[in-house]
Amino acid sequence: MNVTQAPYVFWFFAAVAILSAATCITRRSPVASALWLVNTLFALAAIFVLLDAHFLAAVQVLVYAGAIMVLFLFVIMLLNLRGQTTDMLGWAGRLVMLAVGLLLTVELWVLTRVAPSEELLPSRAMLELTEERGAVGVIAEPLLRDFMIPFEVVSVLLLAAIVGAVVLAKRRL
Amino acid sequence: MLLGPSLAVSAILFSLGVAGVLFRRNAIVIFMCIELMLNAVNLTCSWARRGR
Repeated sequence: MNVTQAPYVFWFFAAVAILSAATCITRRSPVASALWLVNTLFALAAIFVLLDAHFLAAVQVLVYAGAIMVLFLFVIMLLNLRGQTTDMLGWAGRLVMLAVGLLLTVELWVLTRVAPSEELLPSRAMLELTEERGAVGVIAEPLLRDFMIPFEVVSVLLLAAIVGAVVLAKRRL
Repeated sequence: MLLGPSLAVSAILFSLGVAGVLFRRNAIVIFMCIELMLNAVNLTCSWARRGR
């Protein structure tokens, strides 16, 4: 299904994503925040399907909505933040947040005005690529050929992060 | 095509993530807001890939 056939579906999922994200950052309980974030991630996965990025949508559901959010929920429940009343800032902080958020939205919106035109982004290009190489091949080829070095550097970085987390968590090794 | 709207959705999600990072003090919630920003960037990248 292409975006041209389904603009209303796109708008529906866009609204779900934005409203869930807004609810996520305003909920008092971290668990509620995490669950609203899962809702946002599912809506984004649906948008990925509409944009012909089927593999990305599947990975979004499996990795983000599945693995990462379960990890977040584990951490929240292990830390047990129940006694905490609220972690939100006062009225001054809210005003700063609104101002910065609106400023950033307007700035990014202006940036979308100078986005590449339709000639540079033919709507059928992704479908043809997917039919030619398969949904996984479209992702795998640039990742493991063009961006091989950054990919490996990120994996080393993640290994360092794991070691750092273990060192921080266990004071006495 | 919905290139503009799609980028606008991405912009709004990114701004919401930034606002959340500024708004909350809880480290876990700040991490979740960072995830929100990363996903917004993912949305723009899924469009950029169509140009290849």
